[in-house]
Amino acid sequence: MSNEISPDPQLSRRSFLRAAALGIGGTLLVACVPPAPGPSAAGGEQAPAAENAPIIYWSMFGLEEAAQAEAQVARFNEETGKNAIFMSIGWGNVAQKAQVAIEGGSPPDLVSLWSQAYTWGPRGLLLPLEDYAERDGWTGQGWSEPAYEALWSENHLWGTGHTLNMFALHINKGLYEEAGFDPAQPPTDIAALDDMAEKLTTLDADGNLTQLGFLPWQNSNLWHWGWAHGANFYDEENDKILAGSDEHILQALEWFVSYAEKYGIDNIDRFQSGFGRATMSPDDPWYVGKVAAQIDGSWKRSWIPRYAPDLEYIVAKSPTAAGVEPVSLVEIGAMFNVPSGAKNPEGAWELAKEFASKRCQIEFGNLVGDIPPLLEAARDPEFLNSYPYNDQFIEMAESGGRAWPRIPVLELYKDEMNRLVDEVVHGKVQPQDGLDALTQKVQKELDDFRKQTAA
Amino acid sequence: MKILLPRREWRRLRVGLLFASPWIVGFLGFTLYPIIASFYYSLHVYTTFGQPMQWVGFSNYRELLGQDKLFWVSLYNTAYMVILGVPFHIALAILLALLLNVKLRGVAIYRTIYYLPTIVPVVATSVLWLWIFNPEYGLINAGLSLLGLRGPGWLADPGLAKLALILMGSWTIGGTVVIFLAGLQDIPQQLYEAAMIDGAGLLQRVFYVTLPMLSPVIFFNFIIAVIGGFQTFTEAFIMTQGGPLDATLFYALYLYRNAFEFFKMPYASAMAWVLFLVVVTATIFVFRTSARFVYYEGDGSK
Repeated sequence: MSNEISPDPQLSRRSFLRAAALGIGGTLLVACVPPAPGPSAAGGEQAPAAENAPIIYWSMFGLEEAAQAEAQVARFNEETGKNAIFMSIGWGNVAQKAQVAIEGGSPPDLVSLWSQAYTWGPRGLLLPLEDYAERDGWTGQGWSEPAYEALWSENHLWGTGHTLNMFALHINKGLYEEAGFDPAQPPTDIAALDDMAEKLTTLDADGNLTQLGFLPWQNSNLWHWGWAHGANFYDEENDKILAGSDEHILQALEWFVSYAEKYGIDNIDRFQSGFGRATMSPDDPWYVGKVAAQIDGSWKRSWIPRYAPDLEYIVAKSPTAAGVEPVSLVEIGAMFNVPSGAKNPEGAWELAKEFASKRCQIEFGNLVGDIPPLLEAARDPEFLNSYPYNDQFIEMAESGGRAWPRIPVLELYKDEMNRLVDEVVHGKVQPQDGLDALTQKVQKELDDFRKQTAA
Repeated sequence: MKILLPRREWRRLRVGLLFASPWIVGFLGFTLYPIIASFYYSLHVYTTFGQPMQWVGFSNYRELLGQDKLFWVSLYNTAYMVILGVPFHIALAILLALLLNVKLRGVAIYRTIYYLPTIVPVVATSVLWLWIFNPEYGLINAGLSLLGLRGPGWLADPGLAKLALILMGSWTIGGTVVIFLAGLQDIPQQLYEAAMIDGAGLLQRVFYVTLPMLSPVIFFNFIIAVIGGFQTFTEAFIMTQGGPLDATLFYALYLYRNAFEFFKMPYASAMAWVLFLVVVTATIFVFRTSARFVYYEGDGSK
């Protein structure tokens, strides 16, 4: 180092500009290169997996359900000599994590989701499995029909399942009897339901609600009550959204409005926002008697002994409008999907088939109370007697069950329906106008999607 | 005019760049590239994973600005938070900083107490405030009922939900307060002494000495708060999911929905760029008007 005082190295303006231009230009070039096409669908050039290649399974389950799934996986490994690895991700995280993993190119081999398949599948994030199913003769024989249909969308089979979420009217027996009703005679039609709601709703001296007999959108939605009025939300043949044109949906929506007007929507809002957490907690408004009756899921009966062991309850098939048979959503509780780009799709399919087997279905049903899609498993005494009122649900799985419209814009449809009910019961929009706007919006998205994927 | 640097200086420059290279690489790769890429993607539609995107020019932007009612709703909600929330929080923070600037014994404890909420994770804060705002059992309404008043619905009331969130935001102004405190320490005592000699009372001292001298710090905090305000997301995501009646559907939340629930990534990218332009415009506006109220010491200006 010399002794002279040297000036600070000044980057001349030109050099700086040149370097900056190079940096930004290089970045621009890299940024504007279109993404490389992803891996191809089933049957593409995938090297045959080694005999003991791992089958990575990301599960939505936690706690006891995870423990059971882990045992089922261990048993599968023992019996088949395969190497399935169970990972409990939890239902709060699994969808997001799986999405990122799939798009990032390092997905698990099997993942349990719920209705994501209808949106993800047609967008290329999941592997269609109908070729595997055909090869192995897995036809869903003996399954509840809407349940099996629910595994398919856009002519592709997206996975298997081992449990169904179903819904029925859950009534607080104590309150029901106190009001003078006969527990052996739950309401079966809308009029009886309204009557029960009337008698079981109490107000205090200031006119505030202290107990809600029944409210259509408490723990339920317009889908359920639309179906209960005999509605159809989607015309599969013509690919049309029917929210605006099916009069039954309008009837259901106007029935919602009648409740808002009866008690005053502000009152209802206040009362509802005071409800404790409904999921897996003893503060569920139905447990503590704030709500006398509500539509609830088949899993509730497995939670009651845990969170409200002293509660006496009745489960009845949902009341319906005249001429409509008892109805329930039949939703695949956990769909076992194989992501696009999975390294061991063959192994994943084997595991998915195992989970859908009769014994796994019964085991899960006994733990959670949800209904096995295989009717033979559902009618098996081992499951049938595990919880009270199982037969009510099973009858609906056999007939009267409805599946989601399995369209690629289902998430938007559901979101818009929630918004619609919110706006209509608050008087912000007229029912038919709201339904028309919703139909237009969702139909447009659907049409755009069809156009873009046809290209 | 220098075209090439002398060798020694070039070597020094290289060493300097080498030390800065982790940040430079990170910036280029994780900030600049995604920004430019997102603009590129916003000019396409992307339907099927693994298939090439389709070029659509500015049609996403046209749809966003022309046909999407929720875009305007979310922009309004976000602007509401910025225009009402930011001045309120800044004013509150200044007040708090002035109060905490006294030389009492144990004032450090108070400063810590006011700062602690900022280190609580936003998710925990959200759940906590969900209970505080509960119309039936929450602390606030319980307190009001003791006074014989019937508390409002807070987060359940479309007209009040945003105000409730602004109120909640004032719980975590500790960071801003700390920065103001630092700024306050910098104000030379002799200015206060001179003012007192001239007969200035407390309020006059605050308005004519403290605030002007603090104005660069106020300006800084204001810009940061504005930028942050436009990005409000977590509270709505956890507490209200955009409700009631879209009252808390903020821009970032709507963007998230479009990207990850409806799978319209390019549309969400277009939303991101529109937000960027809005924030840049707001920032430039604040900068331009700052000359009128920011006083930099050593500056000849008023």
